[in-house]
Amino acid sequence: MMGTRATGKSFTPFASTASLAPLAVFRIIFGVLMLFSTLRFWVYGWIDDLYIKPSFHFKYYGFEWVQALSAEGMYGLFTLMAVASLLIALGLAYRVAAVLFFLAFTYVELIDVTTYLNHYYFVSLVAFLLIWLPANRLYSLDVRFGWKQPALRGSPWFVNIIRLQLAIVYFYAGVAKLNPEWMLEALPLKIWLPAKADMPLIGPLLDYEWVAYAFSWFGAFYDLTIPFFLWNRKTRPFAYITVIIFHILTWLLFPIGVFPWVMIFSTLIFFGDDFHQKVLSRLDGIFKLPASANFTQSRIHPALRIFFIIFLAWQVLWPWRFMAYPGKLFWTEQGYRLSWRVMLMEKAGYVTFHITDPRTGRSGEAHPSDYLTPNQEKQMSTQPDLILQFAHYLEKEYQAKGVEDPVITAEAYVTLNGQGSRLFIDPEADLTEKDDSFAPKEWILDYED
Amino acid sequence: MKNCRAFIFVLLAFLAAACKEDPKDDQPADSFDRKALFTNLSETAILPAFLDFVKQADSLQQIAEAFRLQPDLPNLSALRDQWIQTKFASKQIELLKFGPLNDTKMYSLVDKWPTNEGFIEGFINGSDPITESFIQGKGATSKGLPAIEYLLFEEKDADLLLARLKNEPRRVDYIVAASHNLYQKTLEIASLWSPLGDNYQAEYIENTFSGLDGSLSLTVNQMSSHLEFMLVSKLGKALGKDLNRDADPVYLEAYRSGVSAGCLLENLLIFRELFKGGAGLGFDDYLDYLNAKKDNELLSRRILDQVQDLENRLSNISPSLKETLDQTTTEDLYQELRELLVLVKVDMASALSVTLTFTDNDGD
Repeated sequence: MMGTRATGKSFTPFASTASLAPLAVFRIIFGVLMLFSTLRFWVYGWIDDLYIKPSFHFKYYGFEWVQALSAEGMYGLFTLMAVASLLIALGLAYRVAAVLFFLAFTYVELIDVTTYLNHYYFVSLVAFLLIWLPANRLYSLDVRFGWKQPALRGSPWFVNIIRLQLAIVYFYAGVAKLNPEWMLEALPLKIWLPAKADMPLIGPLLDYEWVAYAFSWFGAFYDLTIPFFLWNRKTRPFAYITVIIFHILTWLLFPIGVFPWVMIFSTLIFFGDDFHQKVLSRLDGIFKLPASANFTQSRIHPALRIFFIIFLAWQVLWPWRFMAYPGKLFWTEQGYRLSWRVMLMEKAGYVTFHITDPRTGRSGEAHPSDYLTPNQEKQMSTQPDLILQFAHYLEKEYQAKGVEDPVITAEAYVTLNGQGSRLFIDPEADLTEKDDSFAPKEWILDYED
Repeated sequence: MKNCRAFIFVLLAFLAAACKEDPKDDQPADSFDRKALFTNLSETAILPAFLDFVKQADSLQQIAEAFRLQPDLPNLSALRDQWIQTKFASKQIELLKFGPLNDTKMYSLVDKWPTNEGFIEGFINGSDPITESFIQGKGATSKGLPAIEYLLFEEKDADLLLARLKNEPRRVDYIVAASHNLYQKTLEIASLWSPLGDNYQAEYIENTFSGLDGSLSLTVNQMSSHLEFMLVSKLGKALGKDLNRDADPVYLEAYRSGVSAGCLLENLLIFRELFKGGAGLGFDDYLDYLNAKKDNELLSRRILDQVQDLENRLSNISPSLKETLDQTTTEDLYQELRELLVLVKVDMASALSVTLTFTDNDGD
């Protein structure tokens, strides 16, 4: 009978298999959270605001082919996402649902760079991993209907790959905080916290500078160490209480949507078999076993193991690519994204594009607010690759108006962490002559302190 | 258990650091009182601007009536002057387009430009009696201050205009009726904020929420977007800043009356009122409290200096903006206005943490 606790006892700590119960619980939680998140997105009208209304979308390098669909298409995609989330939670047609969810979610994320959030990247990665995991081998409708043979145990990889992914997110978010601004100047929290001084209870504290330092240091310490404290059985209960306090605090202080809930629930996967068996036993009613159930173990295919190792190696190395670029990371943002750099800087800018027709010598200005949503404009104004993309978009617009070969330069002013606004990119550089690539963008001006 | 104890110790140390007030730590110079800021702004800058608008519009309708009774040169001159005063009062309101004034779109009913001369001529050439209720039924481009401006300034020469108005009494009826309608609208607009009306003032003062819907963000973002509107739409278009479009005074606001520069100046004056909060709390104090700087100088000082510089430039324009569009002084004015916009939209918004976030909600 599933739900008994006997199974865990008969294996040695070094057994080549581990309980799949944490994975089953994770599957259910992930599905429910994604369903909630998708519906929330829908109800807030963001499908319309972010994907249907804008006439222009900023693309990820290499994914220019990902286009926003028609209104029907976008709502269809979100419907698919919602249904797939539900199926994942139920463990029904699980593999198909996981594939569809990953594709639909990632497609939506790739439509517009300006909607990028680290936790969406995290969701994409986890959704991708779930495709390969036997998360439906217990407490799933696939098992109940006899479509899948139940398995209580399987390769430790299946649970640990998710734990490692979470650990990487936290650890790298911590590493990213180890910079002089965050640690020595408490920036940007020194700017952000006083703005929240009207909060009840802790509000008045936020006006003190030392509080910004305390939050900065605690945040860095928390991110760097929490995976280890969660992994260790003895420290786990306290670590988890800290997880809850930390994320609820960030939820109260900053507009970060569902991210705190994703982390609070996801980190439950660090708990042991017993805990998850208890959780699952409450679901016995939904996920009854067929009478003929015959337990097996879920083994990992050697190729999958190699693939996981490559995946992890890439995850570990990828955030360091910024070191290959010259200049200040926060300023140029070359190698900034997809690296768990969360809430690290306060940055704002304003860009005016200057267009010259070399045939006539005439010049004029273009203002992003005439073309972009406020969020798109805000994001573009501080990110050089997006400024370049927009310049290329303007080039096409002006070519359509009969200006064969416009020269387009950008007059961009940016402030970083409360340091006064200054010119951001070379105002002489003709951006229509520059191509995006992984090569350093030499037209970004140096940041001078 | 060792691990566990170490963990608890470190955690407690951090929590203690985060929760306990250290007596050695410098006390903040009193947490900045947003309620006091909003109270002061609404009392010293916002409500007086609305009341002045009502007062000026009331004078305008009375002088218009007087002109209808006795259409002569002194009365025409008084009417033109009063139109300018009312227009200037309206330009102060224009910068206050946030909260209910933005939500209701009421401002367009008093000052939407350019006006549609064709429509106005059509109504005048028609046969319906031109009354306040007739004007009430017409669209925004056929009424309000720009429509009255058209009829009062279509002919620069006062003698010629007077002759025309005497010959065509329906033009005068239109001026009078549009003035009455304007006055009614100013009452409605003022009542949005007035404690005697919808009393948005109370909500404004209480709304110390730090999100995008908070009074702080609403005010600062409107100050910033209005500067951008002044730059791009009020000056840029007329200066021919669009590629392949020449400088053209018809894109200036109030080019017929020749008070385009005055209109920009009034926009700036109310901007400064809001920024300084008169003698009381203003955004300058808030920025100083946050120690916001730009190039080692207080940001508040930089902004006020920049505003002053622009005021000087605008006051020195002679005879009017439409005659000086091609001069470098006007181009300089444009560039300096952009500098103010950058200081407000980038530096000030960032220092106050009111830059837009993802979909007004999520961000990271």
